[in-house]
Amino acid sequence: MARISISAVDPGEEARVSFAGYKADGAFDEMFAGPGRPRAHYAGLYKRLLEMPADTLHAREQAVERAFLTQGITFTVYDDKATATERIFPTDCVPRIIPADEWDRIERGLKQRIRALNLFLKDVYGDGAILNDGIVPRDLVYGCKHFRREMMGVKVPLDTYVNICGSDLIRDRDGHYRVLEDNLRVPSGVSYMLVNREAIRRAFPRLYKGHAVRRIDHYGAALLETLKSLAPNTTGDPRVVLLTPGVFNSAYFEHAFLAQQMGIPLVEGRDLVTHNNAVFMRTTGGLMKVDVIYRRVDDDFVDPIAFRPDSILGVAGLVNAYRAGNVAVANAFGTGVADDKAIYAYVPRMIKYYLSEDPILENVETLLCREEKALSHVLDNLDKLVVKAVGESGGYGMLVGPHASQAEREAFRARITADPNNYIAQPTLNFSTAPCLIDDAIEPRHVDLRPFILSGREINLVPGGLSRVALRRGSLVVNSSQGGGSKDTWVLAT
Amino acid sequence: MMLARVADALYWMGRYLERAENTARVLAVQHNALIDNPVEDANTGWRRVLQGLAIPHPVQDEIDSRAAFASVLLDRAEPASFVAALSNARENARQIREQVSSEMWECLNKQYLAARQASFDENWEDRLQDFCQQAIDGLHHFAGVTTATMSRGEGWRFIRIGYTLERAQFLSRLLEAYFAPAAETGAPGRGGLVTLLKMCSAFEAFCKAKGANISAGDVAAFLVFDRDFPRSLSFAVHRLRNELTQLAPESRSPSAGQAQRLVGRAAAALEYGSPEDLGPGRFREFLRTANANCEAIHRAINETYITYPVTARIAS
Repeated sequence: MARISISAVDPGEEARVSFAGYKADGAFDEMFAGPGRPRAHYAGLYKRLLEMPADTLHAREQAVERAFLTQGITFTVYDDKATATERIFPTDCVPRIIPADEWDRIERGLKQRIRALNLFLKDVYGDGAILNDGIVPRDLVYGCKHFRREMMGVKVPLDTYVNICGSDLIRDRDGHYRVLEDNLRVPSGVSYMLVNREAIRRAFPRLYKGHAVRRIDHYGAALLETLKSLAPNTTGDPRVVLLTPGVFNSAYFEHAFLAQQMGIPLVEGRDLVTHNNAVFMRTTGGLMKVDVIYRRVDDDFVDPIAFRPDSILGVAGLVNAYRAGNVAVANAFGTGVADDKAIYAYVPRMIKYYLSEDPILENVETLLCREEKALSHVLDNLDKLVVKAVGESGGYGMLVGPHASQAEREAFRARITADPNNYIAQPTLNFSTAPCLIDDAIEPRHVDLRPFILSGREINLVPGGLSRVALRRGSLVVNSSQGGGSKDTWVLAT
Repeated sequence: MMLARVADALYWMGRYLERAENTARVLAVQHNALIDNPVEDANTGWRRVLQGLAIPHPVQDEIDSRAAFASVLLDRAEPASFVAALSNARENARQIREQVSSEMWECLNKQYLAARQASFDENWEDRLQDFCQQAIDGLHHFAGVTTATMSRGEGWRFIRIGYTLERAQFLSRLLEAYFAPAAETGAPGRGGLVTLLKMCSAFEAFCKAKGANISAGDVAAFLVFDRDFPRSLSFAVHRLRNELTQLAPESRSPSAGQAQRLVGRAAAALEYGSPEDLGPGRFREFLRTANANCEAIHRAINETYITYPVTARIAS
């Protein structure tokens, strides 16, 4: 039974949405400074929500979801019989609002961070100064499973290894934004940022107009500009393609969407061939040279000659063509060494080392189980910590101590003891909550924020990002594979 | 120039959409015909329908109408069924989503989502006409959205080629089923001829052109030779020739010009054909040649634009 809570109303008047169930759980709340006291940048939204009948809000949310279904804004899930179902990514219709000064700090912090990370990648695939100076342990880099020997000494266009980055930010108890992880390989989610905005603008035009929301619809153009800036030689208009694993990939919608936004061909591995260390695509009129590939295929699968020989998703010979400088690939191969969960802990030190600056955005406190002192602390406090396997992502290979059973904790204890290098631990973060429409009431749910950073000749962010929501009450897991949803994110101009 | 895989998917999207529409229309007309016809004619009618849709069937067996409607309309495992054709059209569009306009995609996807919900219950006989009519309306809507939102480039041409080839093959099979069937079912009477015309949505156009006096010879000649009606064999093949001529000739390909040559030959047979070609003893051969030409054109398009060997193109 859906729980319905309706505020006391005069008979005949429509039911309004209720804030009665809005109980902060100690986390920082995006909307309320205290009970019934909205923060200044949320005042307009709060007032509007109080006026709005619950039915209206629901009807608009359903319209949004229906539109997503007919537009095919879905991801594919497979059950144990390998039957494919297309699902929509749930969207909460209450926007999240970020004031201008907060965004300014985020933007500066992320630009600083990506500069340092690109310098780090250039360094570890080059001279290795940061290793020689003992700032980052050598074995951590060379032992990382995402380290690609094939990239040693390769000249990378503009020295930018990571051209598209999606960093996950959370807000701690005091409301400080912190970087939870950097996604430097093939980050996804930007299409949801764009379609959420389109849907919410349509569903709530007056609300939207009443706020000076900064636009994000130039993302496609900015991405294409970034990709073109990587082209090997600058004569003529470079031919850019987007390489997708294909229609069975869970992010296929995003690949098709971005290709359409940029007006570039969406190619699969079987559409590309290499010849004389150059890449061509098979067209109706024969072979045509490709200059830049925005690849949404993981390193492992991208070239069966260089990496996994059993992959049929990639292009044989792509890595050699890249090394020969005849084609640009974004992101470069081997960037995963810099978003490894253990190396993450060293990013603030990288910023100091390469830029001689203090980090604008802090990390989340991280314990490396490879360090003996940290290991014993972790093993003694498994019920309080979040433990993560170093090479995993997407919420897999993770123990949320306080929510885990004794058996799960013991299983993790055994795994950590057997291979401490493979684990890190972080305090259980009670990260911030934002208002969401749950049944007929507005309730707080935990949110993170994934802004997208583009680096080519310059570094660019569109204001905002994808706010992911843990829709289950009390849950701290926002991944779409594990019951997460998303919401539109408004960065205000003033 | 577009990706070979994309051209292939657009071509098949066109084919499957045409197939879905033909199936829906044939079933709607068949359902309507069965209301009047005595039971012994039902079998003849079904055999013609199944042959026209290229669905294999045992000749002797009595055909159960409910099972036949259910299978040809909604059975996803039956490749010629309406739902299979619509799903395949949608799946081809999904593989090249960035190539079709959002309006086209949404229109097709909506129809697919609606058709997926359909099932046969005890009221099927009252609802079948509506279902088929909605399906046909939806496909016409899609064709209109395509005309209104898609650039007339290479992609457009591959879609049109798919539509016209499928239409020509459907017509040649259906005409064979009516006028030159393998099993002797007798020449179609007036009722059968009207049914055939309606299956090609040609009844009104025929009456306008030839009057209401319906003879087998006139119907056959109209559906084969008429240059103005969009569901005649001649119209489909001439349209196909136009589209193929406008495709950039691929001079570097060894098979360059092959498809154009074949379609020219097929068009000439229709342009310079005579009523004698449709006479007894010759009509079947005539239709089978037309169908075989379509298959040869399909292969030539495939070899020229889609599955050419890469080595042949690297040398130049």
